[in-house]
Amino acid sequence: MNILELHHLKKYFSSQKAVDDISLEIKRGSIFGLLGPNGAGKTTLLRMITGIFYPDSGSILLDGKKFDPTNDIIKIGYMPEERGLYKKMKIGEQAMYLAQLKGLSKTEAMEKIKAWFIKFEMQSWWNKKVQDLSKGMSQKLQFVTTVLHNPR
Amino acid sequence: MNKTWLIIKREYSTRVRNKTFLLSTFLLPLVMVLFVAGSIFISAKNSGKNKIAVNDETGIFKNNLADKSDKSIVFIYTADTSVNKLLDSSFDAYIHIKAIKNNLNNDITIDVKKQLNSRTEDYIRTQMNMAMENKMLEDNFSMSRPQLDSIRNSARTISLQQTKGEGKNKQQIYSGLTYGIGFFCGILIYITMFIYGAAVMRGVMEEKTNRIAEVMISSVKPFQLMLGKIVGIGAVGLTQFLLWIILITGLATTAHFFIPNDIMQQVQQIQSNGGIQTGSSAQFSEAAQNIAQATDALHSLNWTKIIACFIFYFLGGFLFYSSLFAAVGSVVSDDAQEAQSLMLPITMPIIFAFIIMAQAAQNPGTPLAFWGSIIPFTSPIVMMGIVPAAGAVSWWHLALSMACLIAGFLATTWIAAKIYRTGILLYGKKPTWKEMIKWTFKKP
Repeated sequence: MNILELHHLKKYFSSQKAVDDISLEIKRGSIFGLLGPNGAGKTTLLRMITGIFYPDSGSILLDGKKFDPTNDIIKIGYMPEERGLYKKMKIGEQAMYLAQLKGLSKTEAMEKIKAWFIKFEMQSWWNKKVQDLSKGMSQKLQFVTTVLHNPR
Repeated sequence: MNKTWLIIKREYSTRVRNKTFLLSTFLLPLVMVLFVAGSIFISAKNSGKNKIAVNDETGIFKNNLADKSDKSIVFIYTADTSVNKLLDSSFDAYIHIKAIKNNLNNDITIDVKKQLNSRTEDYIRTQMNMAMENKMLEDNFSMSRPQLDSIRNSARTISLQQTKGEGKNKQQIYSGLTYGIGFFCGILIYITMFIYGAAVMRGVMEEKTNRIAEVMISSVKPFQLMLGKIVGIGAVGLTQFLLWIILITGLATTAHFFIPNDIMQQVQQIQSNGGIQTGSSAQFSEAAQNIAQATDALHSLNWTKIIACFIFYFLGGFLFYSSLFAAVGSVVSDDAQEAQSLMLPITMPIIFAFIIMAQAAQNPGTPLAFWGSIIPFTSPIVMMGIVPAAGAVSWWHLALSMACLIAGFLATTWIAAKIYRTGILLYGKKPTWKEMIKWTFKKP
């Protein structure tokens, strides 16, 4: 069973081709690497899969069904390379905020965050600010916020 | 909607809990009071002393020019003709009057060390004309100076009070007060629009440079993110105003307790007499009369209208401009200089509005004031300048202005949202104006 299928995906920016007719399939449970030179359209492709951009043509199938950005967002965890966190916010609040934005309820979010924080031995960081964390620590936090809502 | 609410809550709570919020809430009124007091103090000092040497060969002016009551303009009579020597010594100006022709224009020059300001010039001219007038009255009607003075004193008894409406609705108008309140409200909106507009811009820039926007936009729509930020920061602004109103009324009430009891009783007596009557003034102390008059003047204003308008125009103006600030924040990267140049088209109309407001607060009935208070680019600031003036703003005028502002902010938000949506995810090169205009017409 394929978790993700792309069929003839195309995206243009004004006259510039960003993604030109990409088709691929990713098997459930596999790890998939996407390589390419600068400007090949990797980020644009990822942004279409995460619902940030809409493709000009072609289709995205998630779990065999057509991808619907508004409702399927909760099935995806997206962690860009940079530290996408608010520097001045406390760790706990930040995790709560991002989890709730994904659609989790307050109690649900709290439960999951606590479980993940224990797993990574981060319980004592709750009231620390992101700007006081080392790079590794904030990457840990970012990972937690990415997988918190159990993406597929 | 639920997600927008979450964003609003975060924007609001992180800002309100911040120390700078508390500090600015309590320090800004203090700074403003100091600023106003300071500028009054400096202007009072600066008017300084003007010593004016008068060389009068006609005999009309000698000893007939009155010094200004605060001694800021003083006339000293001399027969010395050496201008430069006089100006090099302690004199600021020198007037030499050789002859005066009756019934003809008399052009008189005044030599100055440094330019005199226009008010000093006006004062000197008035004094000289007065001396001429006195001289003619004395000559033609053979009246002595004391007689003239006593006629003037007994004739000048009229004081003028503007009123509006009839019967119960009759209200007294204090034009100086409405001007002051209007100007103050205009400045307050002007300052806060800059502060909160810039806060929105910085917030958007932070999200962009830290690449938070990327994470956020994978779970919320760009418009929700922008709207949440704008509404959250706007709510912070409202909270600040609310605190200021509480602070000011609190201070005003405590000030009441510091007024001595006997004066308070006199004030009540004056008020129950229906204001200060001529003739009765002797029986009350000056302080009591001043307080009674100030309370009267403050009660003559329609505070509900002023405060309601203030809140509406703050929110309207803020929504109008902050979405544009958000759009600017979304297209620039970390470079403050880049932001500055892009901000110029937004800050120019705000500064322009301030200039119009300064005019409109003085002359609320002019076409400039009218159009300035209708066009949404300037209306939030200009309207506050004229709202306190009695009869200057009719209900249809207010309704039209509000409708235009609402339409205006819907339009700017719509345009800004389109720019924001593309700009927030774009890194590297700064887009040109042409590209940004293109984005506003692009489908998602």
